[in-house]
Order: sequence, then C-alpha cells, then structure tokens
Amino acid sequence: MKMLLVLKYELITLLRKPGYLILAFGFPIVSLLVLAGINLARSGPQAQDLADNEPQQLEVEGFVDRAGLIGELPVEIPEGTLIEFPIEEQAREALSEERITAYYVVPSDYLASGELIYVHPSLNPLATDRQDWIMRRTLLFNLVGADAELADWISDPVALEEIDLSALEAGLDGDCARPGMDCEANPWIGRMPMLVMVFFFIVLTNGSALLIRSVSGEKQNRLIEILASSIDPLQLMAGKILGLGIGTLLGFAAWVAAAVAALRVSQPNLPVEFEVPGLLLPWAIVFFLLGFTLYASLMAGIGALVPNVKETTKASWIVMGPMLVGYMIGLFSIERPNGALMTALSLFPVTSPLNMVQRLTTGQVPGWQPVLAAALLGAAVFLAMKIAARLFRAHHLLSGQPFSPKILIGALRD
Amino acid sequence: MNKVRLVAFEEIRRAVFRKSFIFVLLSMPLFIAMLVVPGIIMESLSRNDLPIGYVDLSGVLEAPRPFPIEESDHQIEILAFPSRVEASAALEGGGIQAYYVLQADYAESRGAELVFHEQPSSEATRSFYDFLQLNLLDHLPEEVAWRAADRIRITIRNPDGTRLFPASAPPLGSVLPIILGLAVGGLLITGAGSLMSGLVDEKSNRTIEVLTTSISSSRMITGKLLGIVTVSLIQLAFWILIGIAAIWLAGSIFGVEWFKDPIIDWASLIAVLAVALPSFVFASAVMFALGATIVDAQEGQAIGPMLFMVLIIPIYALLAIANDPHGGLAISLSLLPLTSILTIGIRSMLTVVPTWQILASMFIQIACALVAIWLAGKAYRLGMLRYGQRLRLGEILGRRGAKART
Repeated sequence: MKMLLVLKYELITLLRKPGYLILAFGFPIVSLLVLAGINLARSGPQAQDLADNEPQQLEVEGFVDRAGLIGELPVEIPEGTLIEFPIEEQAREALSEERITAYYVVPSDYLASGELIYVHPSLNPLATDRQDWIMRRTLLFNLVGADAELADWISDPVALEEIDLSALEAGLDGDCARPGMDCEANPWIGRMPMLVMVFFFIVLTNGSALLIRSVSGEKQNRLIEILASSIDPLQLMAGKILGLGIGTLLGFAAWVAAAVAALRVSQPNLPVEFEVPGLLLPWAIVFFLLGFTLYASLMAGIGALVPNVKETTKASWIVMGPMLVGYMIGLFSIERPNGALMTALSLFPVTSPLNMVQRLTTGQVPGWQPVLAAALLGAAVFLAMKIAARLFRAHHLLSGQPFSPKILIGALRD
Repeated sequence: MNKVRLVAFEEIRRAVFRKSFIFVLLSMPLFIAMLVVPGIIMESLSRNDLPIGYVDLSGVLEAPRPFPIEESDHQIEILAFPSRVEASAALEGGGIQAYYVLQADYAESRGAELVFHEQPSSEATRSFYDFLQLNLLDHLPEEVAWRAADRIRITIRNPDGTRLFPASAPPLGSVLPIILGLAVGGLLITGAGSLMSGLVDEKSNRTIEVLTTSISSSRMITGKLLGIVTVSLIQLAFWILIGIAAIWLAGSIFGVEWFKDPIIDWASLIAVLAVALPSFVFASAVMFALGATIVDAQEGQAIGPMLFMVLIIPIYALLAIANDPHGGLAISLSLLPLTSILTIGIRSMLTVVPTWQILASMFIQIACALVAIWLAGKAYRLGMLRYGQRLRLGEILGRRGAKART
C-alpha cells in the first residue's frame, strides 16, 4: 500500500515538472504542429503553382582552360551560363566585379591528374547548391569528342534493376520494402533503424536518470531520513521505479503517437511496397519495459550511494557506460545492422534494448534471436533488482559518504 | 600577492593532486576515442574486398580493356562469367560479393541487373562502373578514356588564394582551429563550473567564513581565477600532446591519408587561443559571481548547459558563417564573448580573419572579463555570508531600493 503512495507521489511530482512536460509532450506536439504547418503550406494551390512554374536559376560562372580540352559547350547548358576566360586574371577580375559568381581552372596536366580548381567566394564544405555539374558535363562532353549521346551514356551507364536475393527469400519485394540502408530512394526509411535506436537511447537514459536524481535529491534534502523511518526501502524503490517508469512510458507513448501522426500528416512519399515489420511494436514494448527496469533498478541502487545530486553524473557513467558502447556501435552499423558484432550486442543483455530493437526495425532478425535476447535481458533484470535491493538499504540511504567505485564495491560485498 | 599565490595554489592542488584528475585528463581523449574507435572497427569489419562479377549478354565487354596499370591497385577485382549460372554459383559459394548482368539489348536500353545477397561495397560498385565506362570508350586513347571514366577531383579555392581544400572534405590542418575551439569550450564549461561549485561548497561548509577574515575579496577572486586557468592550461597541454600522438599514430602507423603530414596554420591557432583565454577568464568570473549569488549547487547545475548553448551558437550558424565568412553575422559572433572562440575557429578554416577583428575581439573579451571580475567581487562581498538568501542583480549593482529575496 505504501508502495502505491510512493508511486502516486513520484508520478504526480514528475507530471508537474515543466522540464519533463516539455520533453515528453511539448516537443512531440510542437514538432507535429510544425510538420502540419509545413504540409499545409506545401499543399496550398499557390505554392504548387510556384513550384511548377519557377525555372531553375543558374548562376553565371567562368572557366580558364589551361589544358586546351574544351572546344565547345554542350547544348543543354544555357548560353551565357559558362564563360571562357583566356587567363585567370580576367576571370578573377570578373569575379570581383560580380559578373560571374565563381570560376574553374582546368590545369594543363588535367588529363593526368584529374584535378579541377573551383574558385568560389564561399568555401562552405556543406554547400549543396553548387553547380559544378555544369563543368563536369562540359569536360566529359569534350573528352568524348563532343558526342552528347555518348556523354549521356558515360554519365549514366546502366538502367539498373537490383535483385536482392535475401529479400526475395524473406518474401519481400523491393529495396524499400523494409527499413534499412538498402533503400536509397528514401533517406528516412534508410535511417529508420538507427533513428529508432537513438530514440530508445534518449528515452532509456532520461527515464532511468530520473531514478538516480530522485533518490540522491531526497538524500540531499534529508527527506530520505523521514521516508526510511516510515517505509521499507524495497517498497520505496519499487514505488519509485513504477511511478517514474509510468511517467517515462507516457512520454514514450507520446513520442510514438507523434511519430505515427507525423507520418500521416506529412504524407511522405513512401514507396508502396514499404511496410514496418509487424513484430516490431510488440517487441519494442517488451525491450523497452525490460530495458527500463534494468537501468532504472541499477540507477536507483546506485542513487542510494550518492550523497547529493551533484555527484550523480559520475555514478551514472558506471551504469550507462555499457549502453553507451552499444549505442556508439549501433550508430556506426547503419550499413550492416546484422553483422556478427551487432548480432552479439543485440543478444547481450545490457545492450540488447538498443541494438536488438535497431535490428528488429530492419525486419531481418531470425525469430529465435529476440526470444533469446528477451530471456537473457529478463535474467539480467532479475539480477539487477537483486543488486539494487542490496544497495537500497537504510544504512546506505542515510549515509553521507561521497560516492566512489570503492564505496560501490564495498556496498555490493556488504 | 602572497595570499593570491596561496589561493591559486590551493585551487590547483585541489584540482590536480587527486586521483580523479587522471580521469579528468583522460575524459576528452577517451570520449573522442569512443566516438572514433567503433567507427574504425565497424569500417574494417564491413570492408569487403571480394571480387565483383559480371555476365555480358550484350557483347560490349567482349574483349575488355583492363584498368590502367597505375590504377589497378586501387580497384576491386572484376571477374567475367559466361552465364548467370556460373555467376550465381560464385555468389552462393562466397567467391564474389555480387554480379552484374548486362542485358542483350544493353547498347540500346542500358538495361542491367545487379544480383546480391548484401549490397556490394561502394568500392566494388565504383570499380565496376569505372571498368564499364572505360570499355564504352575503348575507341579513345587510354588516358582520355580513363579521365572521362574516373571522377573529377575538385579543389575549392577562395578568390584570394589563401584557403584551398578538396571539395570532398577539408584537410586536418584546416579543421584544427575548430577542434582547438571545441577543446577550449569544453574546458571553459568544466573549469568555470567547478569554480562555481567549489565556491558554493565553501559557502555551505562555512570555509568561507574563515577565508573572509583573512583575505580580501579581490585577492580571493584573482587567486581562484589564476588557479582555474592554470589547471585548464595543464589539461589543454595534455590534450594537445595526446592529440599529436593520435595524429602521428593514425598518419604514420595506420596510414590514414587524412592524418598524414598536416599543414598547420599556426596563425589561426594562435588567433583562437588569443580570444579563448580572456573568454575563459570572463566565463569563470561570471560563474564565480553566480556561485556567490545562488543558494545551493543544484541551482547552479542548469547554468553549465546554458553556457554550452551560448558557446555552440556558431555551430547552429555554421551554414550562414560558411556562406559568408566576412558577413555581418560572422563578424558579430567573432566579437561577442563566448561565441567568438568557435566563430573564429570556423572562419579560419574558410578564410583569413582580419587581424583587426581578432584584436577587437580580444579587447572586447578582456573588457568583459574585467567587468565580470568587478561584478564577481561585488557579488562575493555581498553574498559570502548570506546563507539561504539569493542575491539580486540590483543589489550587486548597488541600485537603491533593491532588496534581498529570501
């Protein structure tokens, strides 16, 4: 009964925190509204007309051909878009007078080196609006003897049909039938497994951090002294885990609902063959619940050893370190989420809540693997709760000793 | 002066002569290693050097021209198969990573199939395309055909010729000022944060009462700032040494091209440091003042992230700065306290930041630091013995009518 009181108190306190409300509900709602606004603006008749009628604006650029390769310009390049200068000084002058926006220098040894110099006022390495394709096309066109058809063929040598034998064996049709980097046509589908993993990481770390902050905060303001005299520490811990767990789950649900709604509102051009793996959602819930319980238990336990909120960061690293390793490897495995290392991490209990969910999003995990991973994670949760119970004792809760790994080891041996 | 030295030494002793300082020193290198090492491991694990096959039903590759000799070492091996059956057997047997089938009407339709279990590596795809393009141009001299088939390597240069780098990625030497700016920014947050929490601790454990009776507030602040700057410089020097070792390892031992023989732009690095040092003192003095005004350490925890948000404003404005490194936004952010560190780092990669702007920025940072130290002194004098009471800005500035809030 007292556990329920703790649960209620923790949940209500959490739901009153502006920071939590903004993160759990504010961000999804705002993101949804922004998406809806963008969609509305895009779908407006005027916007559509503008998009249809506005011609692509090309900047006027120059070139200096020291290799003597460029005899004529391809017909598809509008006249006056690419101006030849006999020497670089003239091109530089034209650039300074803003008659051109940039110029190219084709070095005399271009055939041997393949180096082309692009003189541009902005060196922005992230720029996507450069039009160097015009010069590439011009060089190719002239190298192949001013044969536009051959230049086209070289630029785009195959009309490719990809046959993914693994997908066919799994009964899937098309590269974008399931989330994963095989889908080159849609970057969102391509990166979906990684995004799901990042989302899980954020929710699990933030959710379990609530536990350590709650316990250490109560230790710091001495509230724990009153609580310890009126409730069994284990009931206190269970109440906290359940209360803050429900709060985290609410936030999780809000984000998932917002993501689903965003997909409907934004109406992205998803390929017709695309479908989210059917078992993803039930397994995601299982791994979320088990993963949260694992990390929340450990954080609550370690929180009992931390005398104040200030020291929680150091202590959190001990618990979160292994998950961070799985997270980092998951980030770098977007090309091959089903390799040997990822398979191992997705079965290993402390990393499985992230890496198994990442792999499940691709829909290419053999059925026995999530079952085994969930069983191992369940066993780890049992062990974590036993460890947490050992740490969550009155003499630790009432101690004001600064946290150190030595204290942790001593408490575990206690 | 003696007391200033004592306070500074005490700050250094408290920070440096303890075991956890080793962790502090190693935290940044370990964090970077944690970001980079999994990437390298995954890259090496996912590397696929198996040959790529093809079946030519069209006859365009009947007597294929091989890659130029000087290029053949960089290419994935390409194997011809007489039919789909042989190619499929090789794929299933793990002899090739994928195979292309050029359709019988390829010359007209360009139709081709790519058959695989796992998408072939980008190197394999590129090698096959280069090979195909080279052979579609077999009527041209090898040098011309290869140049048409191979990608153009574009080097971007600014109009005055002071900066140039490959369009694919800027070289290591160009990004070093940004890395230095980020390192100093990280030190600034941790150093200034620890200064503030140290002061709050001294208030809460009443050490401050003893200190107040034996040292003036101005000496106290000077000593603490000197101490924290020294500790941070020790950390920075250590990180630079680790960075040099990492660059040498990556370039000379592991042969990573990007790390080989970096051309270091010392002027840009000095410019970043020249602006960063007074910024550091400014931020520390501000945090010291806040430490004197707040009631407990928990209140101060939100200030670190806020400082971080201000520091990384140039990252948010990266595109605007990169598009116009001499524009109003770039110059303003170069002059403002805190944002100047990264802005000058980013601009140094793209252009030569005018000396007057660096000097102006330095003077602004120094002026701000002096004002912050003055404010910190006032806040310290007023707040050091006030427990449980928050100081208001009006009180610090000595405005009439400003009252303490409990």
